Amino acid sequence: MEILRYKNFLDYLIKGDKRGCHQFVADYLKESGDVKALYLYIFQPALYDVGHLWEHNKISIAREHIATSIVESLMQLSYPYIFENKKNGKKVIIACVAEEHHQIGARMIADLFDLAGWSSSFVGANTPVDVITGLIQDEGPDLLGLSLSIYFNADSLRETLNAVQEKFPELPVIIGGQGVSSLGMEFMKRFPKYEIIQHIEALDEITSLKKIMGKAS
Amino acid sequence: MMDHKGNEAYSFFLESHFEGLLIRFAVDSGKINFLNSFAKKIDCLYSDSFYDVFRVRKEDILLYVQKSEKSVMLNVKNKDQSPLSFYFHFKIIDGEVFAFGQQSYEEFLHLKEQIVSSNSSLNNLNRDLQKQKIDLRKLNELKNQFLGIAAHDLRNPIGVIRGYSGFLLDSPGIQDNEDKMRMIGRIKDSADFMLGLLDELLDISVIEAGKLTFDKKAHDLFKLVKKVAEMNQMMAGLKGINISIASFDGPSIVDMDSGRIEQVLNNLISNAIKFSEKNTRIELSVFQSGDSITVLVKDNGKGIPKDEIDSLFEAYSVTSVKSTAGEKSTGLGLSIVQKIIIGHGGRIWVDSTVGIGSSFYFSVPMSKNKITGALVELKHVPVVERKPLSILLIDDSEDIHILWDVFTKDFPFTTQHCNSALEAIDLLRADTKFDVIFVDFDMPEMSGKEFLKFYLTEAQGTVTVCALMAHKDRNMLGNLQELGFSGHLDKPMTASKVKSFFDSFKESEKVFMVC
Repeated sequence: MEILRYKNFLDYLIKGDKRGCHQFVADYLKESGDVKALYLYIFQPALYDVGHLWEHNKISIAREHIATSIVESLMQLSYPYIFENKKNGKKVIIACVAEEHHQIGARMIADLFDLAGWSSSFVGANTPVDVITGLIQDEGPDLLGLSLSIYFNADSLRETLNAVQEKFPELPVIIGGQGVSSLGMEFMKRFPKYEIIQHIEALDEITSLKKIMGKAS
Repeated sequence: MMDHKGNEAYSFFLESHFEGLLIRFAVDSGKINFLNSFAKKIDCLYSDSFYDVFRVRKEDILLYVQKSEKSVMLNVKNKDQSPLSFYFHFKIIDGEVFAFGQQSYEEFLHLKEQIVSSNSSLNNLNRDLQKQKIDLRKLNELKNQFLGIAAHDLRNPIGVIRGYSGFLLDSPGIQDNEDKMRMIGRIKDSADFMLGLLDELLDISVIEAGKLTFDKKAHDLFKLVKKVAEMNQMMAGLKGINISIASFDGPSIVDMDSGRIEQVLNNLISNAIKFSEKNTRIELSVFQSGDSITVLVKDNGKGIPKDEIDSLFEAYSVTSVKSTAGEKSTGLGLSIVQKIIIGHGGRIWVDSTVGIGSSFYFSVPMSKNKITGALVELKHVPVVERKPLSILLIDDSEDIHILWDVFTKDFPFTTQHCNSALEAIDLLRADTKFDVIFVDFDMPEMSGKEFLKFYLTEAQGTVTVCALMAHKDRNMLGNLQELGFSGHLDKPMTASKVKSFFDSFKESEKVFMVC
């Protein structure tokens, strides 16, 4: 049943049927109110499937862009759920490193932090190092989350991590995104206190404050 | 000359759906002789002349042919007005121009990147705005809650100051000491202003929380205007201002919360007094306009500058116009007035000329119930001589008991005081009889509501029970009758409120009135 529902959504998305997608998400949230499930079991697989279809020449890049754009706008429907939550007083900055233009995954992570009671500042795609360090200076977050979707941008990530480590040595940093699986051990050796997040369970431990970054670790 | 393979490739190119333009046209006339399949999709190319479609001259084309290594951008508007840009290469063969056109891949990529990036930025901006909007709403709710609590908790002690200062002003011998009288008068005036301000703050917090409710019943608006005018005449008299009223003949029955409309009238008339010079006139008119009753409050005061009229009804807006005798303004009154009128399905507006005066109008729909004037005529109840009333006053505030005795010392009744509902229940159980019971709505241990429930069920009491109500309980007004209360008296208690209550009480055994 759930798979059938998912396939319906994917159909709407591939066709570029924004209204159909909108109705689907509005109904989904009305029934369950479960933003996390929407992100993890509908949006994320749908975006992966759309990418897969493009890689296999089934849909054009234009369709892929339209699908991504629709999902980004659909995320707005979850705002009443995520921003109304009681706050836990923790602040997080989520950003994509310089040259990294894929922001949707990072935005989902920012929303999941808000959903768990954090206050997130989402800076978005292609954020230069000085903007990230300036924001840390201004906002004094408890955590920084960086997104790397494409391994190609690992140099930008390294540059950002170096700057953050130097200027804010106490600030815990998590790194996520599809590009992190290709980061070797060598890369992370330079940043022993920073953590790569590969699974949602690991993120859950942080958002729910079961794991306090930078102290218990 | 093309060989066989070349011809085949050329034919394939012409017939394929390759998304590039191939147009052949005559050099001299520009007459289009051939369009490939992609060119045929662009409807504006169905034209006689290449030169007309792309707005170029033969000389330009000849120049472009010479610089064949560089593409030339030509723009065209399709018939649906969508603009297109093509990059052309030209070659002349046998008196015909071969024009090869294509869209720029680099431009397309750049455009795509820009659109994707703008879309993401807009989404991020929207996220921030939504987040801030919700944060602001939460802060505003908190502010209203705070405002409500602060205003409510301040209201009772200020009410006590006002009550005692009023009492001191009426004390025998005070007139002999001018200094003392002036000082106490200032205390009373300041307490009055603070109470007014707190009431307005409470109203604003209720309005902003979206909790303003109206207990609408059919009332004669003209009678209310007359009553409020009379109440304000004393204040006007101090400045030598005369208030006059004109009304049309018909009944002016309106479904209204009379307490709230009285507040509107009080505000408009007291404003007119504030901003009028001595010895002028304030004219009130009540007239029918279509299905509405309109009230006009016209003064000959200072008037309001045109550029300030638009913000007149905004909360906390104060005009540059100064009152004529230093009377204070909170900047909240007209905002509340507007909300009340809108809540009655009406509208409020103002005409004003600096130096000539202001005319404030408000209109509210006439009652749809076919109530005739007769129904609201005063009933002539025969005057019956009564024995002195016996009153039970239940309130946990000691000040209320003291003020009550002060205000009612000349009244023909006796009062039994209780500091809690439980104490009162003991008295009632001891079979003590009362004519009227006043009970505080909000008390610890047992509230006024709980007391009444006990009284009506267990004690099977039959006498009039009235509620003593604080401002914050105003939203309960509509339910008082349902609960079984016969009336209510607003806090802070004043001599005039108590007197007004008992004046009405004389007319009817079961009263329900707003004090």
